[in-house]
Amino acid sequence: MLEVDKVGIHLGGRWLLRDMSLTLEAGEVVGISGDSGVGKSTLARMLAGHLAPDEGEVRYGGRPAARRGPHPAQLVLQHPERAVNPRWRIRRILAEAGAPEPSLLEALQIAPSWLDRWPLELSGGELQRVCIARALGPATRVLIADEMTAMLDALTQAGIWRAALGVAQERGLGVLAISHDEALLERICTRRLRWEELRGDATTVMMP
Amino acid sequence: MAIGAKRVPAQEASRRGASSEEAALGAAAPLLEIEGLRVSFLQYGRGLQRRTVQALAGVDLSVGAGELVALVGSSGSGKSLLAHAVMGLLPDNARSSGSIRYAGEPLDGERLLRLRGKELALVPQGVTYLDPLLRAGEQALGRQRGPQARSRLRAVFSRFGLPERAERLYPHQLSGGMARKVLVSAAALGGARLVVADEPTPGMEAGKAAEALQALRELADGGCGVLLLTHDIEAALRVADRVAVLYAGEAVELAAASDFAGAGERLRHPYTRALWQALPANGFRPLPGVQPAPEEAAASCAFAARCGQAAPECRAAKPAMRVWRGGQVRCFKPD
Repeated sequence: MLEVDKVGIHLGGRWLLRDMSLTLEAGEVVGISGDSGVGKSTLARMLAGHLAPDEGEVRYGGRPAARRGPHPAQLVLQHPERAVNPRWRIRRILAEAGAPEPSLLEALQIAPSWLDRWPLELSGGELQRVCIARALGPATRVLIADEMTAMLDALTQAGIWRAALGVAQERGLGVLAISHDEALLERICTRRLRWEELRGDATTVMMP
Repeated sequence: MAIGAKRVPAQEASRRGASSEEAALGAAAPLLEIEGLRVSFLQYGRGLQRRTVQALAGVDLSVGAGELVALVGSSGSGKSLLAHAVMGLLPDNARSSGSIRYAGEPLDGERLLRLRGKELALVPQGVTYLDPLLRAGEQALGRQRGPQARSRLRAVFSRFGLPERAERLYPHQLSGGMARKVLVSAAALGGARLVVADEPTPGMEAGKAAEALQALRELADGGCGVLLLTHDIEAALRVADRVAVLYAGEAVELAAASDFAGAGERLRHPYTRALWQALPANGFRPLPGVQPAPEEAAASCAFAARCGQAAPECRAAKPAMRVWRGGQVRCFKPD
């Protein structure tokens, strides 16, 4: 499903991350935890195609992501209000990823009445559900959740994860969950990895 | 009226459990007493449409000396506003009502100006509040100078687990955890008696967050009153003596931290119990529905729409905060 093969990315002469390897099978929920600032979010953005690796390769179902069309790995971030256009109504935000299946909206408990509202008129938890629905288009194979519920209260967090995992299981998606919350990862994951376990070479190498 | 009639069992309960009650209701002479605090905003909508947005719709809590009280509420529930209301830092378009008393007297006007930054300290949410051009040591000392102040600084930094070299570091060289400890140190060195800490741990890994919280606990153990505002109930329970729970802008329960145990049998409000049972370690049970905006629940119990025990009266009137089983609860039919 997802193979990360010794990828690295550098910025301003410094490797942000290097020699990172990881595989994710369909139906797996893999949790990654590690210290702040080690590059977890950079890796997440790279896997979702927001950043290109400077070395190594990421394969989705055995081949690199196509240059055109929806990316097979979709990223959901901590702050939904920063991930949507505040001047678009919810309907248009969702349509960015193609018209959403009514069954998907129902599974994520997105009320039809939300579609005509502005992002500001939804709570953080409601808007996060919209972002997850947008990320779960028909072409999505891997959902990457980078601290997806860190800013939400426990009740909202439980509701959102149960809904997202339900859809992922039904469709056989792979889920990569990045979080500081050990208890959360323990609850949702089928497999857990420490950041160090992704690395072949643990040192930060300066470019010449 | 309905509310009055329902008060009777609460009074009976208060007679039964009078001794444990004093513990859960706070010390005899609290440092900070907040009663019926409401904060609203005037907002511009489209064009020149103005609307009032109610953010806090009735918060009652108290903090005693040597006590750490956590106010737990979801993000956007108005916790920072409460901190800013106490410190007199609300923006111009905000209106507040209710009473805020410090050491028995109203906290406003000139008194607030005199105490703020000395006896009253705010540990702000963002570490961006640190002056980027000032070394951590100078920052924590404020206007204090001289060898005595230096040695106090060293003592306070080491008490909060900051290495000596941290005194000479600039804010951008500090980790998030260290920066928070510098902010707490500044409060301690300024001679604060009441510290309000606004969401001190988001985005920090467990170990660092625990350190930042421990610094607040140290302050309380040294005699300070500490009000911790957070959305993370697990973090709050690690250090708090008492916990106030915020729902739709209202405080709905005031409980001892030790009431959060098992399946939540000792908790009083159905929302608090649902919140406890939703934790990943406690069942991860979601609850359908969302928190209403305070103005949507102005004349009913804010939780009625999601409550399994809601009765017709819950939708017809707003319950008042009342004493119940050694704590306080805003519910007509508490357990």
